[in-house]
Amino acid sequence: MDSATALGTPAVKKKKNGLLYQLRTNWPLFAMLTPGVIILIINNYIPMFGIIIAFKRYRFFGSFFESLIQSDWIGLKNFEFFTKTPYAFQMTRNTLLYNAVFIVLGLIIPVFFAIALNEIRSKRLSKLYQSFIFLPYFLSWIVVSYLAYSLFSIESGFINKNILAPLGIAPVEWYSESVYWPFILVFFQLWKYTGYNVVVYLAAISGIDPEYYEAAEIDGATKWQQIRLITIPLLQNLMIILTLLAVGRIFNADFGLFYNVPRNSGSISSVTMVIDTYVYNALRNTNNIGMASAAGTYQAVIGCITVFTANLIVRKIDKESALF
Amino acid sequence: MKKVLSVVLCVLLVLSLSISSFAISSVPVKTITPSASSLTMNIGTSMGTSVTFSPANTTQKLVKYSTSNKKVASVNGDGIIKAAGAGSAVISIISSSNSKVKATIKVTVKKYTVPKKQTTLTMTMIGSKQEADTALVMKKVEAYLKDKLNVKVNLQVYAYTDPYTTKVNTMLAAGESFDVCFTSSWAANYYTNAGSGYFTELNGYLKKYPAITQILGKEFLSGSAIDGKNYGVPTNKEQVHNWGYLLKKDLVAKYKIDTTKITKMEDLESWFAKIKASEPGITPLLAVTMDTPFKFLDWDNLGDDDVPGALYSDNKSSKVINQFTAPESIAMYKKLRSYYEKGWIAKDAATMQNTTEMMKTNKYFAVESSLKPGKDVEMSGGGVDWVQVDITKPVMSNRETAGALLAIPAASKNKEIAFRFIETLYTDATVKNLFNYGIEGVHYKVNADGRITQTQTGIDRFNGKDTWRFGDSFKDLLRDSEDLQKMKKFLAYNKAGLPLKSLGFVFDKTPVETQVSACKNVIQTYYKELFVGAADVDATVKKMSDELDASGVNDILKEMQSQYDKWCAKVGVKY
Repeated sequence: MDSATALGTPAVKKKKNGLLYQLRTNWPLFAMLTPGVIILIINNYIPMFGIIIAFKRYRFFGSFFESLIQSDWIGLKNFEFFTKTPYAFQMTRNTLLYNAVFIVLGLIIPVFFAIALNEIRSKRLSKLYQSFIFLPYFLSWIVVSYLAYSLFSIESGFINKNILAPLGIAPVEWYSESVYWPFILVFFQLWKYTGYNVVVYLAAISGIDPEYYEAAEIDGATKWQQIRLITIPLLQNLMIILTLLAVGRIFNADFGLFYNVPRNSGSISSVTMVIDTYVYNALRNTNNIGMASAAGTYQAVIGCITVFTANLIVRKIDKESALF
Repeated sequence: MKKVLSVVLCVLLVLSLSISSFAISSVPVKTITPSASSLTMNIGTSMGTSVTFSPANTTQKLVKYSTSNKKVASVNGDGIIKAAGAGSAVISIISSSNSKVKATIKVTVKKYTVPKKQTTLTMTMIGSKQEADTALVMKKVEAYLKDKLNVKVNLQVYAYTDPYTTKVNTMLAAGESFDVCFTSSWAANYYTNAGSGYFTELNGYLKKYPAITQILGKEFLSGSAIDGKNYGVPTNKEQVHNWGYLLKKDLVAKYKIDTTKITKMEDLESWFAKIKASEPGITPLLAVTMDTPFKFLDWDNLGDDDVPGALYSDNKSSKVINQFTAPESIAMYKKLRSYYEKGWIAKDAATMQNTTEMMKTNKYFAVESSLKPGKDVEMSGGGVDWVQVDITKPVMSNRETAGALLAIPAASKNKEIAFRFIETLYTDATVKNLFNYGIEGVHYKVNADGRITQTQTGIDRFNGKDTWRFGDSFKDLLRDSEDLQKMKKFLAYNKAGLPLKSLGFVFDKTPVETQVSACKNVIQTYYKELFVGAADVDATVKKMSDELDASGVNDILKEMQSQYDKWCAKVGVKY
């Protein structure tokens, strides 16, 4: 708002035709924007209407829209199934804590790797390392789960058979000992996603004007000082944006990771059950889209609240860095 | 000495003869009743009939069939009637022992009313995969049905259980228009989807086109009805189930195991011990997810398999109990725990996922399975052959009546023709076998004894299996590995089953939906460890039962009990 008034104050008439004026002068930009906006409207805004399913007992009446309208209202009943359970605390705690760890480590580690890769003299080696780190990103969680299984399988797993057995250590029943899983899950999450984030930060680093570094070198700054005083401050905005986006999804756990990698094993569920896996187990065989929408709505609303809160905090600290 | 022996033998022979002839002559047949007194059929279709005798214990159970007009309908020695031309005919059934005892069936044969415009029917089916030659076979179906229904079938096969269920549930919820849909209690949620209005009520069509009712019988058909309304038609196949083991054939032969002597779980334990000791690389018992000997308790589950609430399947009590914490179940967990500790069950069992895939690995001696005549042959192949041993007695429960159904989605635009198409899967052996095995001469060859051998093309490009998914399975061609008497054994097996009193009861979970989802999660958390013996029993059961209490298991049991009692009073079931 502020910027609009700032722009519009000199000519009041023009402000009235602000949009038309903008259209006339910047039409190529608007034309480029249009397809994206249309997709956004069709895929993200129109379906929001469907949020009412979460408050209805969905029954089929001939067509989807008719069913949407004619189904009975049942208030918040669809939401009860994940609040009235002994696991409510456990799954919320797991979802929040895991995501918090992922956000923190997902910030520090990729930035560290990006800077390190950037400092490697040989461009070819740098690219090679980068590709290696990036590779796991393209594996689906199903594949990763089998990789994990080949490591942790009780009878034929690599760790039990080729590491622990030769050392004379008794085999560990990995899939029934909950103490190991917070580490295993965090490891695989980072292993899979670090490469992707590294690429994002590398791109940002390569966008930094080399003159800063040249000037710093002339002034006698060490490498460490260059990183601390130039690279990191200039990455700050990107770091904040990515973190805010991640915070917005703090109630959405990565289903593939939490369901497939622990192989849905029950005895470790106290540390692997997250909201998404709970919802899946509860609704997998029911075709109840009312309850499924309720779960989605709940996560979206909470996610929205956390984003606004986080943004508010960022605003308080540094107005320039806030997302909106 | 020889003389004495022959005299003794003679006396024995005479004695046994007189005893048996005495037994035969003791119960003469008084009346015979055919399974239907009148039939309406379409040209080219066939229908099996059966006869019940009175008194039921009569020893004169042989009958002869004859027809009054061969041009309209012919009949064979097993009572299978074939409709040849339009008109009417009378099939006479005469007792072979007493020609005065007879009955008749009036058969009316009609021409198909062929619609002028071709209809394209979309059919979703569960299976191992979409076979490569599907389009080719569907062309053949189209050509065959041209002068009958004038339909073209677009067959879409999705893989077993989760992929199929996910796909079809989404199509249904979105109101996508398709015409024929496989559904069941274990995939694509027949009861929930019918209750949510996704399927068309079929009673009107069943009345208008009576063939399916004639084939299935009213009793079996009503087993899958919800409040008297049918939303799907079940496959005509085995109508009962029992549980037992499949044993690896080569090991059974190697150790000369007498499978007839194995009638309970304990009988196999000494063999497990022996195989564990002397067959390195073989795990005696494969236990994966729900496929473990826990099934031998044969709980009559009133909800899904992972929802608490079941009856004992002995018809003795109407009390609904929690099958996961019942004393029998706890005893079973303990037994499985001892199997696990002895190394008879793999240490990885709790994290295994796909039973049929694990069976193909050749690393297991025994696996729990639902059984029927010829199940071992059906499961054999691909390098592993099996022998079946029965552990529990056959029982007819809701598991079978809703085990495989065809339904018509409410959003279908071709309901009537879709129903008539479904009907041909019951009445026309040609159509049924096209869907089973593909095209004769391409995908299979017919042998001299009437059984078929799949060609390599058939195995690779249209691998007919799992013929129990749709239509009338009694019209299936038999594969060369199958028993020629399979169908007769099926019928005998169906008759041997104890019909449970709960047959036809459908639990409406709407009032306790919250508790059901919560309890499902508790069961999903603990059952795998308990069912394979991977966890300490007492501590785990204690935790599970506490969490079930907190999730409102008692509300579910109470609701089930009250619904069940009301239903019993309504349909007149007494204990």
